[in-house]
Amino acid sequence: MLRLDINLLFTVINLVIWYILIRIFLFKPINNIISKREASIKSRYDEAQAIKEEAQAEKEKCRAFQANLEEEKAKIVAQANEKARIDYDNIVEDARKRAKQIVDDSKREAEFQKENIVGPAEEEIRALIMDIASKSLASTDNDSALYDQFLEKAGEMNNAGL
Amino acid sequence: MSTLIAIGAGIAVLAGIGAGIGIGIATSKATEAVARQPEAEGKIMKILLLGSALAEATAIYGFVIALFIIILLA
Amino acid sequence: MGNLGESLIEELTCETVFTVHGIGISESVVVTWVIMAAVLLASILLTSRLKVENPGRGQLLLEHAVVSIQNIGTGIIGEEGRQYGAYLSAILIYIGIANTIGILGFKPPTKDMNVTAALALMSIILIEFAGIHKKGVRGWLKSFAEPIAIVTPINILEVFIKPLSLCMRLFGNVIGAFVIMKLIEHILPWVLPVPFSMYFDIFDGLIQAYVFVFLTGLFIKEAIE
Repeated sequence: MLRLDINLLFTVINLVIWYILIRIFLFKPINNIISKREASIKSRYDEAQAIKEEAQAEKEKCRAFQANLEEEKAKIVAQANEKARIDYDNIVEDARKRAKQIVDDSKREAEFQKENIVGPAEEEIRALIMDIASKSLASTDNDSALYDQFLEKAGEMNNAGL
Repeated sequence: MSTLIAIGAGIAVLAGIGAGIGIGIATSKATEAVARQPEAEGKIMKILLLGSALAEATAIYGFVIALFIIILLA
Repeated sequence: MGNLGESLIEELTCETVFTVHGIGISESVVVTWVIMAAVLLASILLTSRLKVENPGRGQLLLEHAVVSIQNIGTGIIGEEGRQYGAYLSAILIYIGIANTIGILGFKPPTKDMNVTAALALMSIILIEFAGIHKKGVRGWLKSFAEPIAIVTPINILEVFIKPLSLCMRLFGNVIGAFVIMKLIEHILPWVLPVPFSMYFDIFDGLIQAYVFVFLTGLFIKEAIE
């Protein structure tokens, strides 16, 4: 045990071989496996990240589409509103015009009727006055009776004409 | 002759005194350290073991010399 | 007592197992071969069925063990000398197995001074190689005169003291543990040796393996700084 001999050299060789063996057969495969696993985990993580990003983009697109749709809808509604308002205005305008026309027509009608009614009445009244005037010229004695008669006639006419 | 060898070997082994004192001091300090900072016990333990193993070396040297004396001179 | 001394001497001597062309192959070398063969077989068997996906408990345990041993090696030496970490880890495994193989009835190879001397020799070669590799030959030579020129003899002496100290520390520890175990077994061969074996064979053996690797790493770190 206390001698140093050729076995020292053997041991040195043994140790060098040992080091190589351990490196090749123990450290290398284990480190390989661990780095492979890490790589696979990393790739899977990246994949998941990519899918997540894709989903995010899809979601964004969907949201944009929805916003577009909303806008379209609002536009259509606004358009319809506008059209309805114009239609309404038109209808109201039309109605107003027609109403005015009707009113004008009826006014004219009334005028006309009045003319029609008032014309003969005036005629009649004139005739009456002429009649009375001729009568009064004929008999001047009882004026009061004549007046009464005139008034009565006029009242009668009034009642009939008006 | 063999008496002298035995005496020589015995003197060589006296080297163990130093290691004993050294490990004793190290352990007492380690105890103090753990009492002061119990959360660092693991680290202190590791350092104490290492220090003890290093301090023990002197005793081992004495032992080896004693062995040399006995075996080489006998 | 004469009986004990004789048997002790007999146990301590490293026998030559066989002779090839007049060169005696000692027991420690043979035991080292046995260890190498066993570890090689075990590592081939264990690493042949490694899976990337869904590793089993055994594989996880193996991976954890190997990675932590490698981490011990690289942890001692630091980031600067990463390439020497694998050597330290390999040596750690070897010394750890060699120190504790006494349990299985083999004589520990580290009980033979040839083995510890070889380990120390490789350590000092690696230390000086690391220094030369890092600083170049001129820088390495200059580093002997640091911090002041007067310590140069001590620095040169250190080149021999470092491996000697490493060698003797490991050898002395293992042989001391071995002698004490033999004495205890001589007193009572049955129950008594078990707790002592726990301490001397396993605990002390692993601690000494770690100390050897730790000091080698420390010296390398010092050399490349």
